[in-house]
Amino acid sequence: MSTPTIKDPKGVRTALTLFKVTSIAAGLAMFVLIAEMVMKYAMKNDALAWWSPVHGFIFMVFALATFNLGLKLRWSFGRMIGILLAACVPFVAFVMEKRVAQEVEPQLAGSLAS
Amino acid sequence: MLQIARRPKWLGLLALLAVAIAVCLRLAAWQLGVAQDKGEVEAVKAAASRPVVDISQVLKPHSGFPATASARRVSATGAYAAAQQVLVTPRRLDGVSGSWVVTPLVIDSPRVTVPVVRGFVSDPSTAPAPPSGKVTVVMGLAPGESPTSGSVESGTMGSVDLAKYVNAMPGEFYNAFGFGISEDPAVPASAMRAVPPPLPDHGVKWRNAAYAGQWVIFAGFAVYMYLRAMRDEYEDEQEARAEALADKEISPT
Repeated sequence: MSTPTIKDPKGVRTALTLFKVTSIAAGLAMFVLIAEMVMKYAMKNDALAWWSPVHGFIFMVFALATFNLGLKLRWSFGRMIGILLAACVPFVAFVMEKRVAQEVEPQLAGSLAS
Repeated sequence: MLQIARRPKWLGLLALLAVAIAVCLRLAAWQLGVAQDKGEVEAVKAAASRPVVDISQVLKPHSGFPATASARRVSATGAYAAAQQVLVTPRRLDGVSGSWVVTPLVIDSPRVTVPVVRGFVSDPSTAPAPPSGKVTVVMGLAPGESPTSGSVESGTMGSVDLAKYVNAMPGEFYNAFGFGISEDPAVPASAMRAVPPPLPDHGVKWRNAAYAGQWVIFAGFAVYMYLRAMRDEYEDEQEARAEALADKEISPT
């Protein structure tokens, strides 16, 4: 099977941009969360305790962006869930962002050219 | 679309969807339970109906107040320290403003002090002096309150601040105070009314209620994902069919 053509290049372009922005935001938010956990459990400092729900919200938006992109590209549910689970590991959100962009952008370029 | 739904892949996903919905709703119910704080309230209610035991079986002097001791009914025998009786004010009982009459009970063996809310008076001047001599008190336990103004020596305090007793009286203390339920020998009737041991307020905790709502939304999202993916597959197939048809028309064999 060759690279599948994308039916709605404009929609996918927007979805991809949203995915890239939110995955990087989620990746960064993770590090603030780690800082919070270290402060809370190692130093008994609750100064960043307000961050947890904010991080949760950012991750939810990232999840929505992933589903949005995945549905448009006809990914399997396994792949979408896999990306979300992998993004729970520090740094991996950035790797996912790169990998998905590298895969989708050539497809997108091909679809726009035709 | 119904034909797609009957395919094994989609039946499998339907089963997965059912599991996801069940899990989400279970978690929503759990958060709702937390929000209503059912467990805690029930535990305290249960504690209030457990048999009366000696105070030394529930508390240790100068140790923390165990969560399970809230509203536990205990008995203690000793003598009231009349000189250290204070009025804790302002307090309300059944919509009436007034004061709690709080008197330290010095338990004789081992010698440990615990303040007892003997009752409530609306007029401070009607607060009766405690009975003198040996008395056995049954009380519902509560943890000490947060510090406010006043002192034991002045006879008025804003709260039952246990630390203030440590400054005012010698000996050991329990990290608790009691709501007097009964006294033996019985005290003569007075203007003072008994204060029932309070149960913790069981108002809904909004953060957990919001989490419960969140889980319901997640369940809804799972349904949306399932339907949306099925519709996508349906539309893809319709399009492929239309294209195949068009191809046939263009190049008839």
